[in-house]
Amino acid sequence: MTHPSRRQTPDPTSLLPLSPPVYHVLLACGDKALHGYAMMQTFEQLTGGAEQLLPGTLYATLARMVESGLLEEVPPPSADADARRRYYRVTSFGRAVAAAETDRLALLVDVARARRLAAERGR
Amino acid sequence: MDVIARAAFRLALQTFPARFRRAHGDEMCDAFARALGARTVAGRVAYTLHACADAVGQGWRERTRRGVPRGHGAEDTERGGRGPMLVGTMNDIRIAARSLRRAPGFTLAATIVLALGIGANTTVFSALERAVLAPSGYPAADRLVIVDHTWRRRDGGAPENFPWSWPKFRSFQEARPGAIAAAAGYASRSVTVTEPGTPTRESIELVTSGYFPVLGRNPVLGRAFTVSEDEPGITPIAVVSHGFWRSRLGGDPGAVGTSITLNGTRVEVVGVAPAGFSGLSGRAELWIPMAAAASFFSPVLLRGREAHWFRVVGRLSEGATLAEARDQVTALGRAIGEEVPPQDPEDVYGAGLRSFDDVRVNEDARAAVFLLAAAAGLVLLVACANLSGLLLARSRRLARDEAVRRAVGASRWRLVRASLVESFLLAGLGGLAGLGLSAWGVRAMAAAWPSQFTSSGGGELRVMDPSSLALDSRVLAFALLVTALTATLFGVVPALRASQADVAGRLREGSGATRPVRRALGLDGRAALVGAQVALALVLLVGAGLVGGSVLRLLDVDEGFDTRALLTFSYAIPATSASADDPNAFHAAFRDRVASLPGVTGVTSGCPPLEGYCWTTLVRAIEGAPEIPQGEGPQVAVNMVGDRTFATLGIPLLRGRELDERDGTDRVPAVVISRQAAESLFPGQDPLGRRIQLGVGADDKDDLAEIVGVVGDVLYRGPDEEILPQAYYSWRDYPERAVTMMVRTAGDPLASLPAIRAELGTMDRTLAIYGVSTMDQAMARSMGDRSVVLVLLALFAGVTLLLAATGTWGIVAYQIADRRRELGLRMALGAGRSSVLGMVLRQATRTAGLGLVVGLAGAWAGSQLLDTFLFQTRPTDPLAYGVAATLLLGVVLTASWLPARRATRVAPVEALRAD
Repeated sequence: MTHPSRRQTPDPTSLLPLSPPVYHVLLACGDKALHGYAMMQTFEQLTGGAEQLLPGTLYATLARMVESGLLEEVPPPSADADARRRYYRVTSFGRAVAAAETDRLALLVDVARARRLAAERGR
Repeated sequence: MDVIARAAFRLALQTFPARFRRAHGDEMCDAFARALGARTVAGRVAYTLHACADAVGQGWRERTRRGVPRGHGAEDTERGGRGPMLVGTMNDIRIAARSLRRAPGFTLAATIVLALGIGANTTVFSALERAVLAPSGYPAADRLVIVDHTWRRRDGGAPENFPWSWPKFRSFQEARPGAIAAAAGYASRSVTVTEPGTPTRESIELVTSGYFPVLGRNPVLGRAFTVSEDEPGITPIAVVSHGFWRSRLGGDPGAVGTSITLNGTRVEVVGVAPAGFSGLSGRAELWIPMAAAASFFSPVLLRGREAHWFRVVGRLSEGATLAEARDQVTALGRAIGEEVPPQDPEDVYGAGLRSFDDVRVNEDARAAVFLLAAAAGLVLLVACANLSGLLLARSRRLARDEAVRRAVGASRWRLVRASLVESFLLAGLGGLAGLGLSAWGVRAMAAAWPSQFTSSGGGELRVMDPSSLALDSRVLAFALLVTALTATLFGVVPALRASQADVAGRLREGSGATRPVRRALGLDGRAALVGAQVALALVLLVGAGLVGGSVLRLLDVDEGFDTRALLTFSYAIPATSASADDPNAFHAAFRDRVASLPGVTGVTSGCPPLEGYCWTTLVRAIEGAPEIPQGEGPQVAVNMVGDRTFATLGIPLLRGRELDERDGTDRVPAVVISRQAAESLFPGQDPLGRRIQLGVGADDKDDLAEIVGVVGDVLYRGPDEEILPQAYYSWRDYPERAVTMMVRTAGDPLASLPAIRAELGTMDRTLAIYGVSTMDQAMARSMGDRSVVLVLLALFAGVTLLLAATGTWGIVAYQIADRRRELGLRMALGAGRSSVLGMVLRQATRTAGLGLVVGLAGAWAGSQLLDTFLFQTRPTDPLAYGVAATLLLGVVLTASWLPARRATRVAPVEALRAD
């Protein structure tokens, strides 16, 4: 008797370290379903304008993230939404990857602080 | 502002793959526009630049990451096929490379055809570049001029450019016009260098002090000559070439100030010329002040007002124009000419000016090179026509593929581009092979480059060094250009065809419908290609035939002597040598030694035939004939020859006796005249025993000579030049220190040279042998430019004939393959094999006939260019045209008949069933 092959959930740490745009998209989306332009806006607001996502990078990244299972495309939340826009939501795998990357970065930030490599503000 | 920014961003998005743009393009543009709207004006500019650069980078990443789907390229065809050019083209190149790999026979044939065309053009261009286009390399060469002394007869005629004499040049220098900043005299001579090292004969230039500064080539060590060294009577000094300094003086900087021995005279070395500089003569190893000429050569050189022997190079003053300078020089020249009345009152002397760059180009070389360039161009055109035919035939095979691609949405431009890419790829292959071919061709041409083409201005100005012929960057650039041009030329016909692809017709075509009868019978594009090849090949064949006929006639000219196994060389006894007092005794002893060498069957001396007349003079008086007014006697060439010259050279003795030991006594000198001299000076009379004066001796008494023999005429100049009446005197009556020996050998003449050199060395170790040549070499030189032109024209004509033959064969074969159904149908309906064959041949004849008519017109026009290369052949020689046309017609008919015969052998039913 044969079993249908079960799709295995990949190890979240296998994608680390994430490229900055991927991590930025994960941060921008949070748990909401957003379209590309909304992600650009959100991310800029969250970082106080210090960081921005440019459309070329953003959409190329989105396509890659969908392929690798970090994001999934979802139907527009309401009927009056712009038909051209595609909406994306972070998958549970995406969340796991984001958490793993955050842990990795937090560890590095701790090390940096211990070594007095962080800027004044962090102390 | 925003409109431009959005357009820029949309353009940047083109780097993304089409599929990606389809999915996200609009949304990206929208996001960009919104993000832009939220910014200040300055911010928008920065953001646009930033976002566009980002999009381009990401787009490329996206393409390379995903890879472009291979095969049909239809992904780029939406939106009118305005996909990113480069990537689509890369894709096309991959496709084309694969398709060429799959058809190795076709690719090889095309590469060979192209290599021949491109190779021929690259080779000829390298000659064109060196002989005509290359700059002289002197600093500010556009200000260099040649100052000519001119001569004409008072009763008219254009002034001829003439060398200067020392007194006249001094007058010129004293009153030098303002437009000429500096001027210098130079003349080429040769001397024997005895110390240091073994004796050698070296070319030198006698120059005035301005020479090095005018040319901008001042010595790298020591100094040039000073103005005070332009005064006759100076102690001889020399500037040596860089090569001479390295090889003879050990490259020692201390060599300046040491001395060398030239023609037996000690000369102090005062300077070393820059590396690579060998004077305007292109061969100088040493430079000596002209004022010292008397010490080495004749005192007459610095005294005789009408001893014209050197040329003058000058430099224009800043701001002076050539026209200004010419006016001033002409005026001064007239004044100098009138200073002292010429010896002959009918002579008028003056001066003229030519730009150095104009003089530098040898006119014969220019004519030959342009002729060959035109011929090479024709070869390339034939190659293109040939290849167009091949590609057309091939595109018929690929027609269904193309139609399918059109049907699934590939744009017309897309197909044209694919076709052009294939052409460029083929041209690239052909270009590479052509370069390989011309690397060899250039070497061959350097070896065969006629010596007449290397100098101009009376042989005193070296214009090019054949060994400099090479595939340099300019030639490579030319090859690239020709390759691109070729690809465009031969690729455009198949590309146009691709663009006109009739989708439905093509898809239907292969599957049983009968093709339109008009195309099967009419003169379509392929027939035009055959016609074009025939026409172009005919032009070259006629040209080769005309020049070939001329060379045959030249070879047929009787030289008047036996040219086989004859060695010639020269040596000169310096005036300071102990042997100089009685040079004849020395020459006689040396002759005896050479004659006794093994393999030597005869020795004599004198000016060798085919190398030009030694000197010419005018008949002054004939005893018993009416008095000849001074300067009006017929021109006669004079040669001082050794004993038994006529027997040694194989010149037939028609009357009387040889010149030999009987001569050189106190009695009246003997002279032997040529048949032509006998006929022109003594028409209907017996010349033997008559006495003549030819202006040979120092005075009238000395000049009188008695005719003792008549010999056959001999060619002293090229076979196409006028033969002058000739007089031979014995060397015994007129001793000379410098002689040219002619040695007849049993075997290879050059094999005796080492032994001869050794004999001369044992007699006087300060003498050097120079000017070694064989009569075979002299014969080749006298053919000179014609033989190079002929060989290359014949080669080009052969290549085009081959191309025309294969091209015709290929096209007719494909035409017939296309018409197999039609031919089969005809035969099934009762047409005999011979009538079908006849029909095919009639069509071929019609096509070829049209090509021949056009070609004959072209050949007639082109043959006018050939005129200077023809000898006893008219440019309209019907034989050349007839033979060429017949040959081509035969080739075309054979090339048509072979495939047609094969087609008619197929059983009609089989042909109908085919496809």
